[in-house]
Amino acid sequence: MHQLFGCPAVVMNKDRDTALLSDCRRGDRNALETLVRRYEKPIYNAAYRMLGNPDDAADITQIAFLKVFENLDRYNPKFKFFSWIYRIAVNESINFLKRRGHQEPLDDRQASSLRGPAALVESGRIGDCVQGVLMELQEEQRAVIVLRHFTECSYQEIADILQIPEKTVKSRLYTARQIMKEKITAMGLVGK
Amino acid sequence: MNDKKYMELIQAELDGELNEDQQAELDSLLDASAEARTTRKDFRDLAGLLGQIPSRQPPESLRQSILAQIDLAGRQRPAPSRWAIPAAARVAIAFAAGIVVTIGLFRLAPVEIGPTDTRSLVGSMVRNQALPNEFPRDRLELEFNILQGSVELHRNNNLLMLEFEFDAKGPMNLALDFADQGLQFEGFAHQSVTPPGLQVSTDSIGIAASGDQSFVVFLAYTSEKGAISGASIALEFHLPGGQIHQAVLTDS
Repeated sequence: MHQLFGCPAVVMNKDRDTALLSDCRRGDRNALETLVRRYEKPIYNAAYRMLGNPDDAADITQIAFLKVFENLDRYNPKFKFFSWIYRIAVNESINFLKRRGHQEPLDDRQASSLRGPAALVESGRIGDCVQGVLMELQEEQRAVIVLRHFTECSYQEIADILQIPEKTVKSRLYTARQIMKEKITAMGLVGK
Repeated sequence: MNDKKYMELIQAELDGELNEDQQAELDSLLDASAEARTTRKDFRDLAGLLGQIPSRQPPESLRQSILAQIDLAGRQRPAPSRWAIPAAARVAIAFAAGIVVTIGLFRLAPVEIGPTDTRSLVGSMVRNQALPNEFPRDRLELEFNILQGSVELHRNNNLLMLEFEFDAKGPMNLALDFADQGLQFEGFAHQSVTPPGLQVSTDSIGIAASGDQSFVVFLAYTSEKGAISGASIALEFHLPGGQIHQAVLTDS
C-alpha cells in the first residue's frame, strides 16, 4: 500500500512486535520500553486528532498502554499489535468524547479550534484550521479520517480496528471527506 | 459509469487501494469527465491539507509515567485519572501543603489538627501539585449504564484515601462500611459542582451524590485498635431502582 501525500506514516513490523510482546510476557522491561517508545507517539497523535486536547490525548495514551499490558496474556498474535492498541485508543477516545459531550465545558483552546476555523484561516494557521474542521465531524467519521490519514491504516486495518465492515469504512471515509471538503472549500482553503 | 462508481475509484486511488485494472478504469474515466477530474483534485487537495497538520510530540514525562505503572511480573494497576500524577496523592499532598480551601469546615470530634493532619476536614480540593507516582492499593471500575467511573484506594503512612470519580445518572446513595477494621473517619474533600451529602458514624459513611462527582474520603488506622494494615472497606452503590453494585476495597 502507498499513500499519495506526505502524511506522517506509521509503519510497524508485525513480527518485531510479536517478539517484543513475547519478551514482555517473560518480564523483559527492555522489551516493554521498546514497545512504548515505538507506539507512544503515534497513539498520542491519533488520540490528539480525535480529542483536540493535548492533556486528554496524554490520558488516553496512558490508558491504552495500561489496558494493553493488563491484558497481555489475552493477546492473539494472529492479529496485529498496532490494530489492538489503536482499537483501544480510538474507542477510549470516542467514549471520552461521548462522556464529555454532556458534562464538561471545552477549554478555551479547544473551543477556539472548534468555533473559529475561519479566523484561523485568516491568521494563517492552516494546520489548526484543518484540525478544527476535523473536530466538527462526528466521532465515528473522525476516527476513519484519523486512522487513514494520520496512521496510514488500510481499509482492512481500519475495519479491524473499528470492528466494522470494510464497506462501512469506505462509506464513512467518503462522507467524512465530503463534509470536510465542503467546509474547507467554503473557507477558501481549496478551490471552489 | 455512475457517480458512485467513479467516487469509489477516486477514493481508492487516494488511499492506495487500486489495482492495475481499476487504475486503468479510473484513468479512462478521468479522460472523459471534467467533473471527475475536479472531484479528484478536491480530494487530493483535502489530503494535502490533512498532511499539513504537524505531528505532535508527546509530553516528555508521559513515557516514564506509563512505564512506572506497568508491572510485568505482577498485577497490573489500571490508569489513574490524570496521566502524570495520581489524583489521591495530589490531594493528600495538597492537604499537607495547606492549599486545601476548606468549605464548611467543621469538627467531628475534639481533636488537634496539625499541619499534615486531615482529621475533621470537610472541604473542596485543589489538584495541581506535582507529586511522585504511586500505585493505588486497590481499584474498582464502575461500568454500568447508569453509573460509570472508578474508585481508587491509596495509602500514605497510616492514612487511607478513597478517591471516587464517577458519573451517576440519577440520585445515588453510597455506603462505606469499615466496622472492625481499625479505621476511623479522617476527612472528606470534593471538587464537584454539586457537593455530595455526607453522613458519618464511627464505622460507616453514607454519601448522597448524583451527576459528575469527584471526591476523596480519608480514613486513618487507629493504633489502639491493633491493625495497621490490611483493612477492607465494603462499598454499596444504590440508585432509586435498588442496589446496583457492591464491592470490597482492600489495603493490600
